[in-house]
Amino acid sequence: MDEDVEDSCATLEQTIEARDAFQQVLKAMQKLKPDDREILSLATGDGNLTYQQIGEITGNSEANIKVRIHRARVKLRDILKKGGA
Amino acid sequence: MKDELISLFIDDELDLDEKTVFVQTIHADPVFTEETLGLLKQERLLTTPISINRPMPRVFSFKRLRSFQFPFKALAAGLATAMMAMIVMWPETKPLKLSHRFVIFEPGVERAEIAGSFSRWKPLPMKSSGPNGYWEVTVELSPGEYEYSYVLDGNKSVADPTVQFREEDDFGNINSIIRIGT
Repeated sequence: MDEDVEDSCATLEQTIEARDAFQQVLKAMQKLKPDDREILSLATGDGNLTYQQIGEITGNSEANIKVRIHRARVKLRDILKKGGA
Repeated sequence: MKDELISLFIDDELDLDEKTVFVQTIHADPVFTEETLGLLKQERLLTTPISINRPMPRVFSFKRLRSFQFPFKALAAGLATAMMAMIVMWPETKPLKLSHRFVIFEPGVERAEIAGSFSRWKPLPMKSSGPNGYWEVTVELSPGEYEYSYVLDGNKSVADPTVQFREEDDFGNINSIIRIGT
């Protein structure tokens, strides 16, 4: 029975931690500029789009997409680092 | 320039020459390696599906009841504290409503709607913005977190492809999650 209690507590703790991490990233994403948020979502979303496809959707060159995606990632990291999420 | 190789690596976009440069840089530059690991960790947070389902009706079980006794107490204490804080800190002014424009690119449909927690899941019609396949609607929302999905031709539910955060509802549909103004 004690093991059951420990297991359920650990699961609850993990769920809360996952939820907290989820909330942090969600808030940080909302702090990105809409263009950055959109391009990052297209790159990391379920669609698994290539840079070429993202370029076609957004009307930008692949080279431009390459730069913008990385900048958006770095901005997101900076927001999370500052704890400003 | 080399920094962008990290994103190309994460997104599987490196060609052979870039792979060579990436591996060489990883070996030679610890700062670059640290940066790569940090962004990979962030990517895990971005791409791990977080399913936070609402509680489903469960068959009563004494074992389950015993297992959850302690968390319920902790949860009750937390809720009581949160309620006290809300009573003390609750602002007197009404929260502002913010306009949010939802847009989806669906050139192949004749009708698009949006349904979400902000409309009590009642579908709201979206307006076609011309022959380019975009549909849009602007909704006035109080600050907070909302779930929603698009309804295409009245029968197909799809999540917003531009919003990363999603969760599965009790019916197996995938809803997007968006935070407004907070």
